[in-house]
Amino acid sequence: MIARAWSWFTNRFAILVVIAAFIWSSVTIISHRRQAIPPGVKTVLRIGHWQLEGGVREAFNAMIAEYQELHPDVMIVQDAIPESTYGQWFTTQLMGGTAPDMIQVGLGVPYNVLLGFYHRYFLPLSMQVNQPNPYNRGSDFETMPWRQTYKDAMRRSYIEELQEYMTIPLSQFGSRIFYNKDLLKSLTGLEEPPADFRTFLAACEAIQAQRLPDGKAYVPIASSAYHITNWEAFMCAPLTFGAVREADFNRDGYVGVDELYYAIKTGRIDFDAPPFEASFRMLRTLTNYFQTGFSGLGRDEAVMLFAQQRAVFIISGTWEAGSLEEQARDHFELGIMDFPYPTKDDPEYGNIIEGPRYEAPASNFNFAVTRTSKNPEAAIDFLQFLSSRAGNEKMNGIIGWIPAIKGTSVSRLMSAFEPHLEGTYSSMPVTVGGETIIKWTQLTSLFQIGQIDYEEMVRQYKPLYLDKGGLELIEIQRNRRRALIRDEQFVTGYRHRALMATGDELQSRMIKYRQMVAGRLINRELGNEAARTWAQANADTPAPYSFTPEVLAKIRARLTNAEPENTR
Amino acid sequence: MIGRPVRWSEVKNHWTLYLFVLPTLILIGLFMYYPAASGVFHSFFRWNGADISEFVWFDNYVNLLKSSEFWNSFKVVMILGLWNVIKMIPALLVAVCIHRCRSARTQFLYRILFVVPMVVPALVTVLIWRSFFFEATSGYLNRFLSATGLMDLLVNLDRWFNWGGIFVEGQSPAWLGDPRLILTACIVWGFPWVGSFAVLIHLAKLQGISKDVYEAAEIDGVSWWSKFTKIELPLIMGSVYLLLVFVIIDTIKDAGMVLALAGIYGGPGGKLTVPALFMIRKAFVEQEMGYACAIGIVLTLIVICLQKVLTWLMNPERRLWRWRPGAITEAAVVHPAKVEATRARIQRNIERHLRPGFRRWIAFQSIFLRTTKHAVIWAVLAMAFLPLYLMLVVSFKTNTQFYAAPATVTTPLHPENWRQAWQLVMPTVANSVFVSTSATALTLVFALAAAYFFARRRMPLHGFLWNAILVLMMMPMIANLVPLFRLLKDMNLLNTLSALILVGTASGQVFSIFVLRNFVADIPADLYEAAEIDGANHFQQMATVVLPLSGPILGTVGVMQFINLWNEFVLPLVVIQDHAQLPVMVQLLRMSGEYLKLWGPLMAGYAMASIPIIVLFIASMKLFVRGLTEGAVKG
Repeated sequence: MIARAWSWFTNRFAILVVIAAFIWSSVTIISHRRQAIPPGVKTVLRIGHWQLEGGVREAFNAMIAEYQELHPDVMIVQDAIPESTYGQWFTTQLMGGTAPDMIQVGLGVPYNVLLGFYHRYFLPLSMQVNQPNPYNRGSDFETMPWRQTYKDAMRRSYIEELQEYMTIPLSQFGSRIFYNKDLLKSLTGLEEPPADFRTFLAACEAIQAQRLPDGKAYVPIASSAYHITNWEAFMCAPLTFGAVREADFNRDGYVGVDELYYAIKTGRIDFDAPPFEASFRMLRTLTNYFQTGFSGLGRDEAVMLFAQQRAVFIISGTWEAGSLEEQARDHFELGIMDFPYPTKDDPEYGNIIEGPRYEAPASNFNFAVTRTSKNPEAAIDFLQFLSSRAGNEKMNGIIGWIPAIKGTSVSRLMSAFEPHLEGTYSSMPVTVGGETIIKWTQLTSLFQIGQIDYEEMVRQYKPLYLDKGGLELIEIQRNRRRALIRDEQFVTGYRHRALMATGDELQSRMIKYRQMVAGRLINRELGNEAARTWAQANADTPAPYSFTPEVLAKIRARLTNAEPENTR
Repeated sequence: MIGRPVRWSEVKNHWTLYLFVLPTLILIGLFMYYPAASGVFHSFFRWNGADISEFVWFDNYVNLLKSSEFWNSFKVVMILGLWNVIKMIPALLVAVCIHRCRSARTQFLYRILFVVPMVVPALVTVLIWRSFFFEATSGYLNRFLSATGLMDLLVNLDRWFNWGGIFVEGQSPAWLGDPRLILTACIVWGFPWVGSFAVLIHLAKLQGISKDVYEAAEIDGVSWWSKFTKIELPLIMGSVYLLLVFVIIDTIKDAGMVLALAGIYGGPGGKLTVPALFMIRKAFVEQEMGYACAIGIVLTLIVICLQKVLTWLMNPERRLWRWRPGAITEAAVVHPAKVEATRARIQRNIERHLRPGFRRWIAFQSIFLRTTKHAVIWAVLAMAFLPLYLMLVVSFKTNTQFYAAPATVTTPLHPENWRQAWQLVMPTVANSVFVSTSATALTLVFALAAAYFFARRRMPLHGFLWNAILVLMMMPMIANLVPLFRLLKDMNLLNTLSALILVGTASGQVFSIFVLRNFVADIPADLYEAAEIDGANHFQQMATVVLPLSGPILGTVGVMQFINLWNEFVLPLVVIQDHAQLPVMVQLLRMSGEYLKLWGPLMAGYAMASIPIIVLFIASMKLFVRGLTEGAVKG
């Protein structure tokens, strides 16, 4: 009997296991769904982001709990997605119409694609940001428009192509070099971090010559595919500033993607220009001090190397400061240093470098509200809560980041991230859209590990850039033009208000209407016309900042004549 | 044998048979043919998946065929395919070694031991290889190469053959960071490449070889190598060919492992971009959905052509490299004229065996071979268990312990890692169990019914429908990912487990029907006739004749389908967005993307994702092998 029962059991063991597992899974799923929405909750909001650094999720949880105390009928769920899959997740969420109510913007999709996304999937927030933030009630920000409460007045949230405020930032970011103070001292004898490029290289040489207990060499700089882009942007890109003199057609001090394209297309400047070449030479020099195989490593793997005290320097930012501090605690003293730029007397880069990288005090950690949100008002309300003076200070305090709102306090660690308000821009935006970005990414990764030299990289990239880059520029212009209908509707609304206004209101509304027409309809076409002019420019056309002797004489004369007036 | 044809005029007597195939037709029509048709349609458009749709004729195809990146991706996939064919050899050798073990208990033990590490989900293995083996500064692969002196050999080879400094003295090669090595890394991962399915399929085939053949070989004095080349290999070539087709087609269709190993850009310089990854990138990064659809269509056409070529090559009548049967078979069975000569040779062998010196030599040879066989098996096992060992050891460590001693057991152990991991992965494990079980059950029910339709009678449209299903075998699911995504969106199924169950059931139909039809067709016609005489209709015949006999084969197909569904992560990655709905594989991918990994809970999570599948496989192995030997995989 027992033998028969045992035989029955063993013969059906697999199916019994499967049935038991199925019952368990069903019960678990049902119980989780029941727990998912507690009774009394009327509104469920979702917020998606890629900031998986230590403290961010905890900060969100704390702020959500506080918000839910004020609004017991609202429940907020956060989706923290790793950076590696964020782009694809972000795209499919939006395309599928299942995106969270609030979603972090700025990673994983090229800018031209993002512009299209702004059009299709996100709500413009211009109207809201021009109203006071209700959570600032009782403070001196009570009557101030929401955007004016920001340190940068929400400069980055304003999307020029759409002429709308599209995102709400929550923090300010900055980058610096983190270093292991103990190791630096023991390996190089330096008490203070290197201040210029040559001293920095000498320190790296000294570090590389030292051996770990296992016989392997110390790594001067812990890096990865992620970190190298920061080295490129913060250390090397300022060298490219010289290109501004040839390619800044509209003389706004900044070389745009379209301007550089036209400058290269028309032969005004080429990839072999000394500022470009120097920037890549510096990058190659730096990679000599990275660990082997850095380009195949993830961000976390470089951090692990630094945390294991096998590397002395690592580039990172405010977003990772808390995590790195946590890793260093009880093991070594963590230091933060500024970028060691070449000095003016540097034999290699002295005649090219024109200053450090200009760091706009711009806000980051941007969230957009999706059009598919069932509760956009509640979503905006939550973002207002997070960006109120008290809320923003508390949230960034928990994470260890710099608040984006004026009048908030900053931790001691964060004071090292004080931005350089004087400096130069990167002037080499050589990628336009999808295909140029991918090709450039692939080629630079080969360059970074010494597989190809700069000439070879340019030889492979330039034909594609001139061919596909042009098509991608057209796509960007298409996206801009897609806003025309909405612009016209918008301007018509203003015209209607102006025509209906009377008395003192009439004049002010007519001025606003004219400004809107100029800003939204005329300037854009002027921009297109300017682009056409740039496209016809050639190497003989005077550079944007060069003047003919006659013009210089005129300016000089005008200044001389104006001097007494100014003095007066 | 397939039943007799039914004329249109007789349909009224058997119309219920169409009901058997109807659910399958609805599923594959909706989730496979509609996306494919939609893909063809959209491939003629400049389409961004949303508001831009502009008819561009064949521009997408022209641009695609002109794209060097696309052709490079094919070059990469061809190299991977070739290596995957070579990587079939260890499974074959291991199967033969296990089969040669005399003791049934030893065979069983080895079978279990091989199955355990090999059913660990491929994604988990890839992630472990990525973190532990390929890491340049302290990865085990470089340590192994240095410790064994192989690194010096590679450095010398690099110098002699001028490889361009891939291996340089004093420098650790960057397997995932060097564009010249990333393809090699993609080939190397998973070493010793002993796939459990392949081993079990080969074993099932080997078990079918009669003992008489071995006895005859013994008498004939055939060496161990000749036994392999002249007896075993020719008799299992059918399953080898079948696996070959699957391996090549799967390689072309696969994007998941490359995605996990090298990321969406295909590693440094995009050197590991395969066509499927190229398509995903075009669709979901660059928003060129129309272009991505064109890639999918071209991919499907290439797979179909390749499959046709392979079928043509494998056809016994046209086979180009037909395996010649061994001497024994030829001598003793095929060519009676040689019987006399064989008999004389046997006589000489017997005389030789009677000499004492020769007997001692044979005994020594036997011991040597047996020892070598077991040593090889244990060496392969040790390598196969290494990722599993690391997973378990690290799962009880804190980060500090892990950094100090990554590969050895350290105290105190931290079982709380498992508690933490359980909280993280438990809901996702439940989702995966639910999806895999439901989809497997539905697949088996619908596929068995459809198999009955195809095997029982040749109904009108039988051939058309059968070919319609066979074509799907060659259509890579990934090629239709974009239209499928749109379809699920239109059906309001995005972000639901139902989407995974339905698509999983639809995609599982093809292989299951293919296997089950052969089985149902092999059931003796007498049984059906007896049931018909008793007045049983088709439903009753199905319940009383087919179902009771098909337990083992359903077990085999069910286990294969369950494991496929469990390991699937590309579709859920795109379709599921809500954390509460995630299957475990996507959750593991997310956990592995944390900036500051907590290695202990991460490895405990990997283990938790592997345990259900290991338990299922071990529990059902008896059934699985029985199903295989009963003809689940006919070579």
